[in-house]
Order: sequence, then C-alpha cells, then structure tokens
Amino acid sequence: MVAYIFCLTTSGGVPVFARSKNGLKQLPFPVIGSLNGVHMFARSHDVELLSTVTDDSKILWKSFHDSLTLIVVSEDDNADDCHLGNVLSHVFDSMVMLLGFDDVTNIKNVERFKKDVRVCFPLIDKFVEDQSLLTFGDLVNAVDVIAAAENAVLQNFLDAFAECADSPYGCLLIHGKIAVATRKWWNLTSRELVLISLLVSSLTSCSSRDIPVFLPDGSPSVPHRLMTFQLTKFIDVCVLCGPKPSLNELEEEVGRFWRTSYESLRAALQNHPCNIPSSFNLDSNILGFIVVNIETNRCLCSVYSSSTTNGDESLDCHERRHILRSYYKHVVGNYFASKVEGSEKIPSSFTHSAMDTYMTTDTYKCYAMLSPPHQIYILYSTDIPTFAMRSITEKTLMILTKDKSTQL
Amino acid sequence: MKGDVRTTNTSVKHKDFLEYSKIAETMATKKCECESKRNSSHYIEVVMKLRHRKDEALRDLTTVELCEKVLGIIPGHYGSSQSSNQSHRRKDRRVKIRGLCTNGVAAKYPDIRVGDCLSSINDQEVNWDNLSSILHVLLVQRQVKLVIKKNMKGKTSGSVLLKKKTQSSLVQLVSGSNGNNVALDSLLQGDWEPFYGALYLSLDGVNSENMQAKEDIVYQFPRVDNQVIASRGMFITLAGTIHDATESTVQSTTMIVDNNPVHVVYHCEGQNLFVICAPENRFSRTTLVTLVKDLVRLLQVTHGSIHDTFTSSSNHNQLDCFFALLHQNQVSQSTNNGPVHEDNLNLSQSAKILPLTNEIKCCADRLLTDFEAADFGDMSDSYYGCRRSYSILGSCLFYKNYLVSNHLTREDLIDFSTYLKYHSLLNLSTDHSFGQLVVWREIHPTRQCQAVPEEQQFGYSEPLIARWFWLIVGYKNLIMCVALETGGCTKIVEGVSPPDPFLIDQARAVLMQLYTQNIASHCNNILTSTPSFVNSPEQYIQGQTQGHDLISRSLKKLPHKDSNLFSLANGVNDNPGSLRRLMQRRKDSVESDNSSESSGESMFKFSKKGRLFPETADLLHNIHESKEEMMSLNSNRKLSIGLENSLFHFQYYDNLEGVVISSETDSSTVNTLHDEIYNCFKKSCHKIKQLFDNARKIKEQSKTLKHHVCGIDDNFTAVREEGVMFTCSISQQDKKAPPLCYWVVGRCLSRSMKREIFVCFHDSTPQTVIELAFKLAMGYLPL
Repeated sequence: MVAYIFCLTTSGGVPVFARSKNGLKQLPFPVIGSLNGVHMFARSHDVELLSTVTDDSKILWKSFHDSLTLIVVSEDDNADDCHLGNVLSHVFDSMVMLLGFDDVTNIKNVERFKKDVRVCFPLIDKFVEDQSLLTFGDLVNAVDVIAAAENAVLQNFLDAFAECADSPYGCLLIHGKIAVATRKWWNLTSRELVLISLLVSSLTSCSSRDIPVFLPDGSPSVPHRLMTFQLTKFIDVCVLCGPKPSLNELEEEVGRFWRTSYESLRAALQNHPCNIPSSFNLDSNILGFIVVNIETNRCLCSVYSSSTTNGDESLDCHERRHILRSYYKHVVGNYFASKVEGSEKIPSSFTHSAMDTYMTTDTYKCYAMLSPPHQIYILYSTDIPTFAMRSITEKTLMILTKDKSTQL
Repeated sequence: MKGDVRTTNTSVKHKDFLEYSKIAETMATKKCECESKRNSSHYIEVVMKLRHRKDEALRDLTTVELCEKVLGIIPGHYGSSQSSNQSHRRKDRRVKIRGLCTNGVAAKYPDIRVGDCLSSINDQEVNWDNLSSILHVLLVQRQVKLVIKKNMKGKTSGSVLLKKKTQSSLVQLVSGSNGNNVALDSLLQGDWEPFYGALYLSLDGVNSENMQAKEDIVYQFPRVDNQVIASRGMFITLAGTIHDATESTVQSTTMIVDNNPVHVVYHCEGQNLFVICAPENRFSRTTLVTLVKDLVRLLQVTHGSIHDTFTSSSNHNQLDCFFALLHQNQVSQSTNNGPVHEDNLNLSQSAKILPLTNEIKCCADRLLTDFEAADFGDMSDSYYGCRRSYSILGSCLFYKNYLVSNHLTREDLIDFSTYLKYHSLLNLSTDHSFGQLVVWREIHPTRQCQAVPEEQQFGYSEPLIARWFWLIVGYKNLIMCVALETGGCTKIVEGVSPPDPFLIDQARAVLMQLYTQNIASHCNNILTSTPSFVNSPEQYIQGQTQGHDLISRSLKKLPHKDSNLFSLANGVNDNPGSLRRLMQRRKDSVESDNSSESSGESMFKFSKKGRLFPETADLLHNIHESKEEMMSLNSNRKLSIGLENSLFHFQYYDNLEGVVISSETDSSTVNTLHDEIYNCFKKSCHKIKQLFDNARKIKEQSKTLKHHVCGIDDNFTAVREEGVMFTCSISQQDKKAPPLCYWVVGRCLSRSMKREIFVCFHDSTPQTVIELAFKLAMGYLPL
C-alpha cells in the first residue's frame, strides 16, 4: 500500500509534487529534501540508490531520463522491489501520457511544469490509493476486461462506431473494464491499455469529453484525441482520433449508432461486479480470482462470487481484493515471472521452473498456476481441501479461458 | 574489562585463550607455520631461563615429574599413544613433548609446541636413558639451551601442497597462529571480494568543520576504498531521515555500483551504525540480514555490546581476524563463484541435530550429565576443602557439524552454535580432527542481556553479580561446550579469571570416553550411511509409478520397541523427561546386573577418586547389543507412507529448541538431477521460511502499540502452509516423456508457529499420504 509519492527534478532537486494517501500528514520539505539528497549524493559517487527497507516500510527511488526522480514510500510488502518499481513507472508514464514525452523529459521552466503536472493528479492518485481500486490492471500490467454474453453483439456496434469516427482505435468500457475493443485497440501496449482505462475512470463522469493524450509507446510526442461518450451510466465508449472529426460531430452520431444496443448494454452491465456472466458455474469455494493472459495483455478478475449473496462470508470483498493483491505480489517476483518489469530475476534463478504454488492460512487458501500464456491466481475459502485446489484451479482456468465471451 | 592481558607466567591471553597445539594429526598444519618462520631448518634453538629451585625433595622424583618441574615439559614416548608395544617403545628412545605445564617455564616460549621432539639439552643429545641425569644437572643451573626438532609429519608430496595450504591458512585464521594479526598490507589491498565490507560509523565528536577524511569511521574492514565506502555518508543520513519519515528503523539498502547490485544492511546502535555490505551475487538481501543479526548477537555475547566492541581499539586486531575469517568462509568461496549457499545462513540461529538412536543418545547424555554434576572424585568441593571457582550451567556436544546432545536452554545453545559456526570451529571439526582445542572466554549471554530482573523475585533468581564463562574443548571430531557461571554458589572471581585446568582435563576426558565407547564412530556411521528415508528422483524417470499400498506398508513400519515408540511420540519437547525415564530404566537394569558383586554401589558413586567413568564395560556391552538393532532400524526407516518412497528431502526446524533436522546429504555423488532438485528445495525452503518469519514478525509488530505510518500488510499473518511445484523435463531427446514434477511444501506445525517442516516429494504422492506423513513424521524421528 503506497503511502507517499514524491517527484523532484533530478538535476536540481526541486520538488515538483508530493502525493500522499488520504489521512496521512504531509511530510515537511526537509525530510523530502534529504530523501532526495541521499539519492543525489549517491549519484555523485557513481552509486545508484535503489531501495531501502525498514522495520515496516520500504522506500524506492527511480530516476527517469535524467529529468525526474520519483520516490515512493510504502508499507513493507515483503515482496520483490519490482512491484513498487512498477508503480513508479506507471506514475511517470501517466505524466508522459498527459503532458508528452518531450515536456516531461526536458523541463525548461520548473514552475510552469509544476502547474501543468496538476492535470495528472487524479490519475496518479489512483496509484496512491491502490487500496480502493476495483481493478487489478495496474498491478498485473494487463488491462481489466469484463466478460458478457452480449460482447459479440456489442463488438459489431463498436466496430461500426469506430469506423464512423474514422479511427481504428475504439473500445467500450463498463465500470472502467473493457467489454469490447477494436482489433487495433488490442495492439496498444499493456501500459497504454492500462493507463487509458484508468484515465477514463479517474475523471469525473460526463456525457462526452475530448482530451489530448500521448501514447507512451506508440506516439510519445504527437498527441491523439481521446474522445469518450457516456452511453448510459457506467458505460463509456472511447475512440482515439486524429484531428477529425470534432467532438460535436461525433456526439451527434452516438445516438444513431448505439440506441439499438441499449438492451445489450443493460444486460452486459448486469455482469458487474462479478465480471463474468452468472451462467458460469464456478466452484462455490472460490472467493476471488485473477486470470492474466500475458500475450494479449488482458486480465479477468473477480472478488464477487455468485454465492456472495449470503451474508455469512468471513471475508468481505475489500479484504478479498487486498489478499489477492498481496498474494499476487508474493508469487510474482518470487516464483513466477510476469509482465511486471524485473519480476523474472528471482524466478529464473531456480534451477527448475515453478508451475504451481499455493498457500494456506487460518482464514483462506490461495492457489496460483502457470499455464502459458495464462496465469491464474485463485482465492479459496478454507472449506476446500488442500489437495483439491489443484484440480479445481485447472478446471476453473478451463472454464474461464475456453468460453468465447471472456476473450482471454 | 577488555585487554587486560595476563602478564604472569604463561604467554596465553586469558580472555581469548585459544590453544591449537596440534589440530590435525594427519594434515600438514604445522607445515604452513614452519614455512614462515623456520623454513631453513627443522631444528630450532631455544634458550630458556630456569627458576631457581632449592627444594631438595625434587631429587626423589621420577623422570617425568622432574621434567615437568624443571622444564615445564611433559615428556612422552614416540608411538606410545598408538600402541602400548613395549618393545617398540624400547626401540624409539627419543623424547617427545607430550604436553606443557600451565605454569611451567616452557609455556612461556611460543616455539616450543606439543608434538615436537626434544633433541638436545645444552648441546647434549637427549633420550629417555639420559634424560633423568641431565635434568638433575639442570637443577642447579639458571639457564638452559634446548634444541627442538619440529614435528614435520605430513610433509609429503608436492601435488597436494596447494590444498593443504588453504586448509592450514584456515587453521591459522581460526587459531590466530600467525600472530593474531591480519597483516596490514592484506587489509589495505588483499584479494577481497569487491564491495564486501564491515563498517562501524559514528558521528560522535565529528563535526563538519574539522572533518578531514575518515573520522566518522570507527572501524573498517577491509581497509580498502571503493564507491561504497566513499558514499558511506548517506548511510547515517538515511537512517536519520527515514526515521523522521516513517518512524521506523532502517534495515537494509540496495544499490547499484559498477552495474553490480550491492546490499547494505544496518544495525543501529543509538546514533551509530554497524554496517555490512556485500554484492548480491554473494548474498541475497535476506541472507545478509540474517548474517548481520547473527553477527550482532555474536559480538554482544563475546564483547558485551556492539558499541564497546568497535570503540575500544584494542579489539581491532581481534575483529580483523574475525572478519577475515568470515570473509574466507562466507564470502569468498574460492571454489565456486555462485551465491553463498542459502542454507549456510538460512537456518542460522539453530543447531543441526544428528538423529541418533536412543541408546547412543542416552550414553552421550549420561556422560555429559556426569560431567555437569561435578560431584565425582576430586571435582567435588569437599576434596580440596575450598569452594569451587565455577559452577557448570550446562553443556552441549557437537560431532562434526551436528549437535549430538544438548543440556542448555535455547538461547545458550544458539549462542554457542553461532560462536562455533562463525569461528569456523564446526567446519574445522568436520574437515580436520583436533589434536587439542581449548577456548576459554568470558561472555555476556544473550539470555541475560534480554531479561534483567528488576526486583528480587521469590524463589531462585540468577545471581546479579555473576559472570559467565565458556569453555569449549575439542578432541578429534567432537566439540564439547560448557557454560560456566561464577558468583552464584561459587567463589567470586575478581578481575582476571584463568581457565580451570581441572575442568579442561575432565572435559577432555569426557570426549575421550565418547571415543572409547564408540559413540563417535556411531555418529560417523550415521553420517556416512546414505539416508534411506529419502529417495533419489531417478526411479521416477523410468516413468510408471505404482499404486500406494498404504495399509500393508504402514503396518510393517510400526516401531519395533515400545520404548522407541514412547520417546519418539513425545518428540523434541519432552526429550529430557523421556530420557530421564529411559535412563532410569537403564540404571535399574545395570544395578540389578551388578547387584551380586557390588551391592549398594550405585553407578554414580566412585570408589576411585578422579575417575569419571568407572562402569564403561557395562555401557560398552549395551552399545554393542543395540548396534545391530540400530542399523536395521536406520536402513528401513522412511517417513512417507506408501509402497514407493516419494520423499526426496525434508527439513525440520524447531524454533523453540533452536534445532534443525535435515536430510542433508554429502554432495560427493555426482548426480545433476539430484543436485538440481536439492538446490530448488533449498531455495524455496528459504523463500517459504521467509514468509513464515515475516508472518511472525508482523504478528509481533501488530501486538505492540507502535503506530505504523505506512500501514502494515497483515494478510499473511495466519499462514500455515505454502507449497511450490517445480517441473523439469528429464531428457532433452525424448520430448514426449512426461516431465518430472515435484513439490516443495513448508508447514508451520504448531499454533505458536514455532516449528516448521519442509518436505520435497514427487508429484505422484496422494495428498492423504502427505497428510499422514506430516502427522507421523515428527513422531517417527529419533531425537
């Protein structure tokens, strides 16, 4: 859980911004200054300071393109440093996405930059408040999807709409999770996918918007126009366009293209928050799961099982999400490698490769399995016998990946 | 307290009394020492000043006693230790230096060593025939010239010379025989692992105005400059800043120097910092943290506090020696360039147990108990009519790397095992065989450091003015550790406290007795015999595994003897109790056997003073009887249940007792698959154990009221078990063959999370079998 994120200029140590978790007191500047100072001091001695661990917390430093230094202070998650490094990369990429690579890596006027960077705060705060995130995309570096039987129908609507917008890039977001997207949209890199989805959900909801975005990998210097239209509550359609068409022109088309899809959209919306159609028959002991396809950069997650309705569950959804996040961080970087940068270091030092792993505690059990290109992490209740976890995990993975509507 | 070197009649330092007269009988340990000092000749000349003696009574003494009195040398025959062949003894009349008297003249001269040959006195050749007459002449002289022939045994061929040299340099480092100093030039450059170092930093009395170069470094090892040392300024700043930011103590830092990840681990001592840094290719972060924890414990035990250790400069030579030894053993393993074996440090703070049968263990325990009782012969108070100087708190016994018997509390045992490990004494006892090893030092036990009673409690409490000492005696492959206390029921020792020669003698006698009773050789048998309860993975390569015939097999494997079952089921915790009961049983039988001849004579009563072990014959008899049974028991034992033994490795860790049982095998067999599996097992054990340790740590932390600024991740506090499955394709050619899959599973056994077991087994094992193995295994191990 991230507590503070500080951003300073690498050359001068000028503070650019400081974000902290809700309810934490701001740290005085001398403390931030000396946290950055040790990093600069080390650099002057040809030493690159990476991280420091204390009794209960962890601090990570990372410089980007000799321009900005990001410092994150977090609880000690007892996981590999790659996960916190991933958070800092996301923060930097957020700035690139909204301000452009050139502006971020070549700061001419720090005071002006400090003002400009404020536009990124809602997005950056998503990473600081990772506790309240409903999605896992930022953690697994793959974009959250929502499975619905109506997806095949919706795909046609989307393709038609994107064509009208004269753009190959289009996607339909339900609660910030991708229901369907155009073929070209799936060709975006994983961080672009994750950041765009998070960006849309970080902004206050409105019927339509048009914002310039830089794609960190695709076009870091030339902005595209990201246009979003709210079709109904919690459902947005997004397109990435060039200079044309204008927002007004496209807004007029929205009704024409999507009106007939209303029933399908309503039906698809029903799948939130489970993210899977209720027809899926999963084991009743499953409290939550993450399935990642590391080739297509998609992940399907759920902490709401169909049996959640009876109120005697020991773990609420918030706890389940938290446990799954912790378990993912524990497994990736220790036993499994994944899309997270640097996570392959320790797993590759084993002479044989780990394929399955599990953990049992007094209140829950977890199982993780590699089945390339898929990875699955399941949270079980304690009622499941340990020996059954493997076969049920295998079966669950089959159910989730073989179904058409999940598109994994 | 420190540095008050005794300047009386011996050359040894009383605080750090290390005597290695003859460490390896077959190894060329002497050779290396000779290389430096006496390369040209094997003979050395010593001119000794004698004490003037007027005592006429000396004239009536035997030759041996005379030699002891006059020269301080205990003379001996050649070949007498191996054979009592009188004719042989008659042939070789040379005088061997068998020992040196503690207060004798010869002990002052470092060139005179046990095992050397006394060649001539005052240019007159000496043998047993004329020794007496020559010594009588010396009685009236003040000075004598001795020529001593050094013991050059072992100088054989040149081909093995290199290996011997490295071994003996280890001996040198351990014993400090090269003058107890690490040569300064080697400290300054030397062949040290890059970026490895130990530092003690203090800003006391340093301010930025008068700061010249390195005033902040109180101690540094090795004294080599590199970027890490140059950037040391940030260590103290970090410690301070991080405390301001998160209200927690800094633990470790990772950084990149010259493209190498380097870890720095801190121990905060007020404002001062003890820092160890090492490159990641040698130590992972967690291993380094464990290393520092161990070092801090060790230095506190030996020196009282970390601050004292480093600030008094008289300690620095000793510390140089210690860190050089550490470097030699843990950091620069010249043979392999890989990371330090995880298990080296992984399970530190514990001693590895050698699983012995009850009979053997009883014998060993009895010998130790007899020694600890200290009520035999001339060891009792009444014999001398004065209070004893030290009372024995407890003792423990190591064979090679393994703990054989322990009569100490957990903290004391860990103090000892940490000391032995980091001073390489355990390694030495494995590779060499000690001629003589005596360590005597005052210590500050961890147990006492942690709990100082504030007020007098009802009943027994430890004496407040007490001082504690350690006596470690080694003989061949055995090491016996004795914890001593003074100030309680004993005399109060002020200032210098010399080792008690009588205790040393008796401890040595215990060790020799263990050899005569073949206990040591039994230990060796167990070590060398292949452990049958684990299986090699080869048979699974053949493919098909058969079903598991659970019932028939488990029936067969029931323990044969009720006594076994009884003590085994009790496990570790009840050990002393069950042993006592077993002892009682044994004692009864012995007494009934002897009742006809020595009625009323209990086996603990001694007719002959000073003799510690009167009834060896009985014991020997018992051991021979049990020998066969033991072998059969060992060879048939296995932990898993089922027709096929699918267990590859196991490791049992008892946090409560501080002991480990492990199926560790010698890596002498060349078996790549086995090694690969073993490495995976070790590495994942390390990971799983880390998870358990963290859970324990967080549990502790959440108990205290301390506020955690960044929150605390308490998801895994109640963790019970973790398993990882590894897959490897067995052969490159046959792609179709199913891959070999095996699990490594670690489990916390008891509620208090004090015991952990790690197993490695084949994937085909049904879960029910594993569950049974977990339940039964621990009861089945002989402890």
